Amino acid sequence: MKKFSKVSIVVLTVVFTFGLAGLIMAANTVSLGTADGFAVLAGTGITNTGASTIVGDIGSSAIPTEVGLTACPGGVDCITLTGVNHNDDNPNDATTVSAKAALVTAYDNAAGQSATTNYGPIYDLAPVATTLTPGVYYGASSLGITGKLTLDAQGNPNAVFIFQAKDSTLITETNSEVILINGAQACNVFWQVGSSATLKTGSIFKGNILALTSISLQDSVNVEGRLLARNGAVTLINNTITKATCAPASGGGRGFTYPSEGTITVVKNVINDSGGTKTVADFPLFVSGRLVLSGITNSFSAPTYPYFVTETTNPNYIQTFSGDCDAKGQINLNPSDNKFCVITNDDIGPAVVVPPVPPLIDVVKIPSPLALPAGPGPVTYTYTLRNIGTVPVTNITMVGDTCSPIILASGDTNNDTKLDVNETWVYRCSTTLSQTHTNTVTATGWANDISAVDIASATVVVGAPSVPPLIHVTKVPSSLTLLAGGGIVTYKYTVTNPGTAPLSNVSITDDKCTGLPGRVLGHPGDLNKNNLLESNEAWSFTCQTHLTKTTTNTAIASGEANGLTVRDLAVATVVVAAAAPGLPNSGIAPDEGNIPLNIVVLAGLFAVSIFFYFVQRKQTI
Amino acid sequence: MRFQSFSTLFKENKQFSLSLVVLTGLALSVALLFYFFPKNPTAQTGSAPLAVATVALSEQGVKPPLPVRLKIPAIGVDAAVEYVGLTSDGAVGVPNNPADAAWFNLGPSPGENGSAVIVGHYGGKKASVFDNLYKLRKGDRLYIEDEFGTTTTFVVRETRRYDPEADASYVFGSSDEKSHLNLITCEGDWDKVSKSYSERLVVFTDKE
Repeated sequence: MKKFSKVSIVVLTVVFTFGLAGLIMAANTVSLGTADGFAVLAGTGITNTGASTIVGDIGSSAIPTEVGLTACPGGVDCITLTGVNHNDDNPNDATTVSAKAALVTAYDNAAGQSATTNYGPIYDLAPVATTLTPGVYYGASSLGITGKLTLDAQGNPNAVFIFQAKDSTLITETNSEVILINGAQACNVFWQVGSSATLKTGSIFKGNILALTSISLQDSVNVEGRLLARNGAVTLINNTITKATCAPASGGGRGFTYPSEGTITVVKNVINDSGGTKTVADFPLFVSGRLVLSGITNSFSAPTYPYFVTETTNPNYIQTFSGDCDAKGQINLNPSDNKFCVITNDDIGPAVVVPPVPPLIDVVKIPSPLALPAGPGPVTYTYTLRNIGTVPVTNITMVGDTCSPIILASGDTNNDTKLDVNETWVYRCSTTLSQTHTNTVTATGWANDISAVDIASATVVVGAPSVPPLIHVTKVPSSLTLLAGGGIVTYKYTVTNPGTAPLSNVSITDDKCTGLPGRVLGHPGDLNKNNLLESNEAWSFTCQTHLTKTTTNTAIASGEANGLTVRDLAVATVVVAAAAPGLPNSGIAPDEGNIPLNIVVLAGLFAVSIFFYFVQRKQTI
Repeated sequence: MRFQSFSTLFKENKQFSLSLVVLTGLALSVALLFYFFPKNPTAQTGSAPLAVATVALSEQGVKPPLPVRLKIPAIGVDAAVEYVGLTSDGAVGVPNNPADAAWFNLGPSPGENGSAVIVGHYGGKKASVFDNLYKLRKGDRLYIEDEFGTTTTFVVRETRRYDPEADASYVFGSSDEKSHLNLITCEGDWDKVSKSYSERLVVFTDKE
C-alpha cells in the first residue's frame, strides 16, 4: 500500500513536470544567421533533374558539385532561380562557407531545445489528418508524415514549431501535406533531422529542414521553407522551393487575419443547357484538399505557389476555370491577396439548337461610413443587385459576407421574388467593426437552369484616418447566346468608383478576351484628364472575341488609393449552341401548282360534297 | 354498294348533307383567305415561344430593326419577308407563301453582326421566290428594307451547295465582326418519297 502510493506520487510528479513543461517551455525561434538567405544549401553538391524553380540563394560547400543547374530554358535539366548561385563565382564562396557555419549553430540550437512532446522511436506525425499547436516535438528516431499535418499557430504569427527527428530520418509520404493556419508561418517551422530527409512525390512541405546528412526531393514536391544539408547533398526533381520569410508584424488587416495569409474565394457557376439538373451544392469544392463552400472567403497561408482549386467532378459536366486561377485551377497567393476562382460546370447532353439565355447580374456593395478613424463603431453595408441581362433571375442568394443578416430592403416592386430585367434590389446589413475589415459577398441567381454570379468586396478602415478605395466593374456581352458555329461577341465594360477616394493605376483585364488595355491611361471618360478615376466618372471599354463554345469569363478591374489596392470582378456567361439548325426544306414539287395541300384537300372535299348534295336532291325529287 | 349506302345516309338526313356542304365551304374560304392574303409580315412572329431566345441585346436594350422586304434586282426578286423559327425536327422553317422570303428570327437580323439567314422556296408550277437564286454571281447586290424604311445593301461573296442533312454551322455561325446575309433555297432533283429536293443552295453575302 505504502509502496503503491509512492509510485503514484512519482507518476503524478512526472505528469505535472511534463505538463508544466508543455505550458512553459515554448519553442524558441532558431536563428539561421548567414544561412537565412539560402533556399538550398548543401555540403557535397546539388543535383537537379527536370525543371525546378528556386526562390532564394543556393550554394554548396565544401564540395560544390553542380548537376542540372543551368538556367531554364537551357536544357532538359534546368532551374529557374530567383536568387544567387554562390557556386557560380567561387567553388568555396565566402558567403556559402559562412552559411555552412551558421547552419551548424542553427542545427545545434534546434536539436538542443527541450521537447514538449515526446514520441516513440518511429512516429508518423500525421497518419491521416492531425493538427498540432506550437511547441517542440521529439521523435527518438524517425519522423514521418503520411496525411495532412496542420500547424495551428492559434493566432500568434510568431509561434514556433520545432520537430526533432533526433537521430534518424524525416520522410514525407507521397502527396502528404503540411498546412499552416491561424497565423502559422513557414519561416517559424524548423525540422531538425539527425540523418537524411526524403520528401516523396507530390509532397507539399512547409518549414526549414536542417539535416545532418542529405535531403532528397522526389518529383513535383513543393517546399516553402529551406533545404539546408550540413554534410551531404541536396537532390531535386521538378521541384519548387520558395525561401520562407516572415511577414512583417503588422499588415493592413484587409480581410485576412494574419500578415502571412491571404484569402481565396471559390465561386461555383453551373450551366444546365443540355438537360442537366445539378446545382451549386452538388460540386464539393477544395483548395489544396481543404473543403470550402462556394462564395465563402477563407484564409490561407501565403506566399504559396500555387494553391490547387479542385472539386468532386461529375462525369456529365465539363469543368472550366476563370477568375484569378489559371486554366488548371492553380492560384498563386501572396500575403494580403484576396483571390477569386470561378469554377464553371457545363452539362454534357443532347446538343441544343436554340441556346437557352443565361442570366446576367451585377452587385455592388458600399459601406457607410467608409472609415471609422476614431476606432470601433457601427457600419451599415448597402448592396445593390441589378439584372443587367435579358431574362428574369430567380433563386437569388447572397452568401459569404461576414455581415449578417443581409436584408432585402426594396426593389422587388411586383413581389414576384424574381429579379426582373432592369429591376434593382437593395439589401442592407448592419454590424459593428472593431478593426479594419474587408468582406466579400457573392450573389448567385438562376434563369433557364443557368446560374449567374457576381462578387462585391468592401473594406472599412478602423482606427486610421485613411479612406479605403472602392471600385466597381460591370460587363455586358453583345449577345448572351450564339447559334452553333459561334461568332464574334463584344463585351462592354464600365468601371466606376463608388467610393470617395480617386483611384490611381486603374487597370482592366479579362481572362478570356484579349485586347483590353490593362493599365489605363488617357481614357476619354477621364473628365479632368488626371488619370484618376473619380466618383463622377465612368470609364468604359470594349473587347471583342470569337466564341465557338459556351464561355464564362471574368473581368477584373483594379485601382489604388491611400496605399490600398481594390479589385472588382465581373463574370458573364455566353451560351453557344452545339448543333446547327437543319437546312430548310424549301422546295415545291416541280409539277405542283404552288397551292398548299390543305387547300387542295378542302377544295376536293367541297366539290365531292356538292356532288352528293345534288345527287341526293335529284333522288328526292 | 358503298355509293348506295352513302346516298342512303344523305337521303335519310337531308340536313346533315347540307351542313357538310356549308361547313366545308366555310373552311375552304377561310383557308383561301389565308392563302391569298398573306399575313402582314411585321405582325407575324413565326414561332412565338422560340422567339424569346432571340439574342437582341444591344447596348441600350434597343432591338435591331426587323427586315420587311428583300430585293434582288439581278434575278427580279422583290418579296415580302416572313419570319420563321425552327420546325419540330430542328430545321429552319419555310415561308407560307412561295412568293415570300422568310427571315430565320432565332439568328441575327440582316445588318446585325453575325450571319442572318433568309429562306425562300424553289420549284413548283408557279414562280417561287428563289427559283433563280442559282443565277446570282459574286458581286451581285441585294437589298433589305427594314421596318423603318432603311435599306441595307449586301454583296454576293460565294455560292455553296449542301446535302440536306449536312452540318450547316458555317451558314449560321460567323468568325468575324462583320454582318452577313445568307440566302437558302432548294436545288437538284425532286425526290417524290421524301418530298424534297436533293440539294440545298446557299448564297453567302456580305454587308456592303
